[in-house]
Amino acid sequence: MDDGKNRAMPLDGNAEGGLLRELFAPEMTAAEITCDGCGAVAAVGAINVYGTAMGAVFRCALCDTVVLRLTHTPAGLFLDMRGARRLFVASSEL
Amino acid sequence: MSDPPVSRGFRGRGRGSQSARIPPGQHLVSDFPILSAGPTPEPDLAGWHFALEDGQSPISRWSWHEFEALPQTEVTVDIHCVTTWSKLDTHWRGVSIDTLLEAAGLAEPPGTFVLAHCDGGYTTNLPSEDILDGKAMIATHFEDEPLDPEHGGPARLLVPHLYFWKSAKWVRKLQFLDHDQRGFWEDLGYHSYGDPWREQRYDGD
Amino acid sequence: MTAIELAVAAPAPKRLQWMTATVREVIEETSRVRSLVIDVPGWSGHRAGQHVDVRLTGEDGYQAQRSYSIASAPETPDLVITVERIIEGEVSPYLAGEVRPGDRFELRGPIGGYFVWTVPLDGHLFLVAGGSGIAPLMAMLRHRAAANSDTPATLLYSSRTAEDIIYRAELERLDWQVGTKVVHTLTRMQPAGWSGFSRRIDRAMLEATCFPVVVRPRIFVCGPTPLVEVAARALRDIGHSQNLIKTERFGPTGGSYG
Repeated sequence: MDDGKNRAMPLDGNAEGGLLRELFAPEMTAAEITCDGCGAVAAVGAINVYGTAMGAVFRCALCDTVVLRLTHTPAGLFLDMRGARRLFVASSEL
Repeated sequence: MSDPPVSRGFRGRGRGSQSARIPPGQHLVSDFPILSAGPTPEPDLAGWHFALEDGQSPISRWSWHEFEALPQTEVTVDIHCVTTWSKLDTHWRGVSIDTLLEAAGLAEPPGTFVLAHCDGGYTTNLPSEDILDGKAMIATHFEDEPLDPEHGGPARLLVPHLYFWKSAKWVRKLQFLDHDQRGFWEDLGYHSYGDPWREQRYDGD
Repeated sequence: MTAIELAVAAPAPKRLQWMTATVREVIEETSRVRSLVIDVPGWSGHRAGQHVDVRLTGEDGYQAQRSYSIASAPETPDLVITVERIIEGEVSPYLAGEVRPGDRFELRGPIGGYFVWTVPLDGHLFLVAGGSGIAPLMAMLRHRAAANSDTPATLLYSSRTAEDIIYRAELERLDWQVGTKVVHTLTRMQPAGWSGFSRRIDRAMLEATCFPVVVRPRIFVCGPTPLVEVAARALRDIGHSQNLIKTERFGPTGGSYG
């Protein structure tokens, strides 16, 4: 399904909030994620997402490490988190 | 779950009856959409090299100069992206995989499968036989111009008979393996082979 | 509960489901932009800055999906999205062209916990909009007005021409209010006698319009990617803290990717 997201430039992670909410109940865009590549901490909603129509690829704004990778296929949702060391969601979002 | 409501008067892009050249579920585009899993790498021809590997063992390596000196091949092919766009009669120039194997002194690929490695960490997997016999090349020119970085320049893999995510941008290495090693998208539910004519978009299709 | 408490009391989060939205009213904002007032049974409310995903289904089952910022304040019962018609687009020519009251599509939301502003967040508010990027910022200004907040707020809004200014009359009224300032820049064509800015947003314009760094304003920038990146970088160069600058890039052409 074409969601119009074929492009070379990244968007803010916030743009893939809908996909994240297919899997997680709390707003993951407000979560803070620690990049396993460089240790930088950023809000998921603020990091770069290469929201290709194939899936969402979240990359650290500092070192470009892929911190999160998501796809939603007919089989189901896949999430690869190997580039993320830690995720924190404040109580106010839970 | 009930059917979604139909939006009166909404018509999707060119989904009507198509030419026999357009696989099922695809539509024709006149532009060339860009789809990237990461930032466009800065081209660095002085530092660029392309390698063939057998497992962990290097087989051959070419600098940009050396690569350009290899026999070139030109093709005009149709390309099909899994995100449903297709482009007909696209013109490419580059070095065929057959030429590379020959230049490396190999009569045949040293493994039944191959994993393409690219700048930025992108990978994609294919059966080795799907890149032989003129089926694939390392492309450096599109429509007679050097390949734009956003479209994979300086060099990308071109395997037009499969969905275009297999035509890996910014390719740097082909690693031959004895097992099928899933690449970036295949790991996340996309089809390991990806034949557009059998609509093999996702694993299990 | 007061209006402020109602507006910011986030409902218990749950995974999103697609809901049916029915168009109740179509408002022509400009020649290319329309706002849709929609009824969504079961809508749980939202915070200013959040967006929704919209999904259209054709007769043959074909589906297309796009995201649109919510333009209405959380306090108002009417849910409003504002859509710019992108010529080569697939969804926006439908939503900002064909659609009429009574038409239906699917919607899910509200989405987004990052690009959000609520009245209890203290601090001056500085908003930078390019084209249809005004939509989520308008939700913030409408929320601020509905809550009778006296938080100082300034909007810097870039449009091609005066005719392209979305919510123009409402922004004029807001500009008259004490504590609210609306500054326009018209980049392509200006009306006779125009004394305002007439160029793309740059550092000098931001320095002239934004609150001083020492005031630590909360900054939201939304619009086409090039505009947002230039503005965000300039604001950081001026000295505003990265933590206080939030961006929502719409993509190269803006308009929610067509």
